[in-house]
Amino acid sequence: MTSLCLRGLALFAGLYFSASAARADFSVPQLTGPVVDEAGIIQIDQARGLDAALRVVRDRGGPQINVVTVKSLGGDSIEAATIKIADAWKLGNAKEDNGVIFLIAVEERKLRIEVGQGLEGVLTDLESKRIISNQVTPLFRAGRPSDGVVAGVRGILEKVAPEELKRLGEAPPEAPRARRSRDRGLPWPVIVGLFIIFALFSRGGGGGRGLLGAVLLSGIGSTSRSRGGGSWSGGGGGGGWSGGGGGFSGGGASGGW
Amino acid sequence: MESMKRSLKPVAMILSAVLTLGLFAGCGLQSIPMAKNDVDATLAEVMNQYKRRSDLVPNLVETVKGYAKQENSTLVAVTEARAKATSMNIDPSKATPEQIEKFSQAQGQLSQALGKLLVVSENYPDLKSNENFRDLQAQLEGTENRITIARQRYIESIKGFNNLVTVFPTSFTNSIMFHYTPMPQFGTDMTEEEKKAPAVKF
Repeated sequence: MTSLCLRGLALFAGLYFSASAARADFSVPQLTGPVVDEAGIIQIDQARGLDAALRVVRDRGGPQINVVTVKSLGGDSIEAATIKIADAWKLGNAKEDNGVIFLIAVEERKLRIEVGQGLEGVLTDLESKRIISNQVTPLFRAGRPSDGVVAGVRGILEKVAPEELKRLGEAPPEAPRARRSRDRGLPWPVIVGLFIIFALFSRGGGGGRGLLGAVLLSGIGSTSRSRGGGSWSGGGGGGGWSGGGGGFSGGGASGGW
Repeated sequence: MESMKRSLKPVAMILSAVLTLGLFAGCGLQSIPMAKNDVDATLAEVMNQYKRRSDLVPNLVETVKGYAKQENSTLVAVTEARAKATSMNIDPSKATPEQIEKFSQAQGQLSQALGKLLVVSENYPDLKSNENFRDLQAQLEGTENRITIARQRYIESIKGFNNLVTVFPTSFTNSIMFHYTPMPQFGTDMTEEEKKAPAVKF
């Protein structure tokens, strides 16, 4: 009887989901890591820097922040698409609801910061809006989407995890400009930041973490060359990144460029 | 032998009672009240987000007034719609469908009035570039999105509840235990009205 009940419910759930899938075409990407760059607009070294930084923040008990870029929203509004991602991934943990989604839709030229319920106090709608309009969209308009994404993540971290950002040595944010000016090699804050991350990971002990540190370091040499539009695909340092049941109720702000 | 049979009888009765309960447990004994709680909670969230919007309105009206005094009728309409909407206090767990509908209509009128206000404010460049106004716009935009999501979740929770009370086997449990009737779906009459209302978009 119980199983009949469950089957009945599953059937309804199935009907419901198939109905909603037919209504709108936006398909939620697979959660492969902190940076899901389906549109391929983030440069590979920046993607790696962000990936490492966001994992460190999360591992230290901080908020779970995810960057998502998609080619198209498939007819949905950016708000509807983001809440679909939020409901599917459930970023952050169930107790603190401390997830953040930073979604960029290339075709529609729209972006949105979606803030988990637990972070609405530290990252208000207004602050999200300011990050978007003051820090992110100017870079997108200038044709520097990858830098724009990094600036957005920095803006989010400034609000939701300021100490972690300081401890990261501002590694992800400084990467783009310095690399641009010197064309090769990484600026010292990045090296210091990566070194700290590496030290932390190797101190952390677990084989997986040591490996991640190694991948990060080995990655520096091979990716410091200037490369436009490279995309990161969850590969090397992946694993252990999934939502923890965090709830979203529509907080945040949207913008466009 | 006879006495043993007699002593077994209550045991059998208890066993069958436990079995019956066990059957119900999987079929709505828990899920129906939980779905009801879910409906109440999502309705409370809808009201909460509408209240949040109402709280922004006086400040918005004041700001617009500073730049667009000649739009007095629009401003008065907003203030009145807000007063009407906030005068309705409903207890989410005891709200009747009529109360909810009235509440929803009053909020719909406020949506329309706000939409008009934002349309006319387009004509005032100084107002549009005013930082306070832009901040209020961002907050209002955020709140409208929260309202949309809260309403969606309320609609989904009603759907879940109605499925439990109308569809076998949980409907059977409902008919002997809870006697809930299916709830009317929310906002179906208002969507038309909302379509007519100017969208609060910037």
